Amino acid sequence: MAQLQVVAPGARASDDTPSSAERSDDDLMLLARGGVLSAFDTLMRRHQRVALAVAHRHAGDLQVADDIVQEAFVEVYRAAQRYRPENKFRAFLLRIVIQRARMARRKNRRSRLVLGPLPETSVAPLGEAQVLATERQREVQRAVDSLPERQRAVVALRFGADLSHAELAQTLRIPEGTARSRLFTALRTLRKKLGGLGHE
Amino acid sequence: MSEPFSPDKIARYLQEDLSPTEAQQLEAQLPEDPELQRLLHKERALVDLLSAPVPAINRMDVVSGVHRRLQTPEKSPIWPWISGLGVALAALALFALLPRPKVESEWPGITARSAQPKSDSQWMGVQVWTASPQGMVPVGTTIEADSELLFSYTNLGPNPAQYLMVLGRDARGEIRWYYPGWTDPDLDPPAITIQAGEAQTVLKEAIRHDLPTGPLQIRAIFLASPRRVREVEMKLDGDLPNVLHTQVINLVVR
Repeated sequence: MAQLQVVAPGARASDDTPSSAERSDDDLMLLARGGVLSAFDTLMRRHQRVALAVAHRHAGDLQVADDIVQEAFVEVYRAAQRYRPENKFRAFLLRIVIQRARMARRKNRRSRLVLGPLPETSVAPLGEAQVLATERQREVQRAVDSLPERQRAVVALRFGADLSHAELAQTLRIPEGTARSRLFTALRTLRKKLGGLGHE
Repeated sequence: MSEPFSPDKIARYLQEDLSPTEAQQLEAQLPEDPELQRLLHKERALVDLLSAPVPAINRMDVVSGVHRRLQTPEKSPIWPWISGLGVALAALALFALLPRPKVESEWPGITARSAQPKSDSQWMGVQVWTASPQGMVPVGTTIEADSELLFSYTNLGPNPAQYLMVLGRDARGEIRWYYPGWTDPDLDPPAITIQAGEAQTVLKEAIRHDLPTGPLQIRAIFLASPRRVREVEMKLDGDLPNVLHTQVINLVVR
């Protein structure tokens, strides 16, 4: 089956042109910069899950996470001219996701001031195990919400994107020791807040 | 008898942050130590909850949404202020009569504004005020969570600044922008322009954030060239170029 080939404007597709899916993030960004939108689509599809997971862990809401990630990709696209191909696209993207998540929290706080409490949404009845699991997740999210912003960012990246300490440091542009320290301080706080969750 | 492992150390084990020797010690002790097993189980449960996958994410696709947003032209930089212009103007008459509160600084070489100037940076500073029905009241060491804050600036000396940014870091570590205002995530507004040779010039907006109780550290950054809010947030604890003076005011929100 023939694969879709992405080529730079003016170039001609040939049999040895790698498919879009085979290209590196940097190559796809350079193609996007040159106006090849399908290259940017490939980039988005490659990274959207991890970006959504980070945004969701930070914001605690899927709709908000969807909004955050869309805005982050728009920002990435508009920054394509300034993008430096240093094989750090994921760190670049996730840094923007964290910034957008932080701004979304600020925006939501203001919205709450204006709108006041929203009406309860009716939901279909859940089984006991689902209720328990949902309640646990809510408790976890409340605990994550209560963390200071810097620790929340580290938790979102570590557990949303499974970043290593070195990747956390690169993404947040902080020393690795600082990333570690923030992570373990956050875990200590979460452990205290969620003390009973580990007991079955 | 073997030494008990702390929850912190167990967390480090699960996050692969222990040295190989320490990790081996823990693994050797684990089969015969029920308390260690319990703590490890508890920590693992926490990590599992934090990393629990969200199946709905696999069904989501942001691509079409991004396309729609890209078709929308970028917004022009309009700063949506919470404006208390009337309050500020009414207060101007009272302004000169009011005493100045003490301003603390934790930055080297910066003293309270009542002290004798020692360098160019001492010619610059901001004053924080709260808006009240009676006009502007100088801020002491505490404010209310919903206080409307106003700022005045002084920009004198042989090397005055051209731009100013004022932000606060609240008790949760979150950044609250006062100048420039920043409420629209699509924008990245630049520093505001200030006049040289001015003393106690009032910026005519009363700005309110919904602040958590606890410390609020306000920073006023006087600049020779304009920076934008995102850059400043990213470099807040690092090196921001062309800064002439940074003033830190520590308040408590109650």
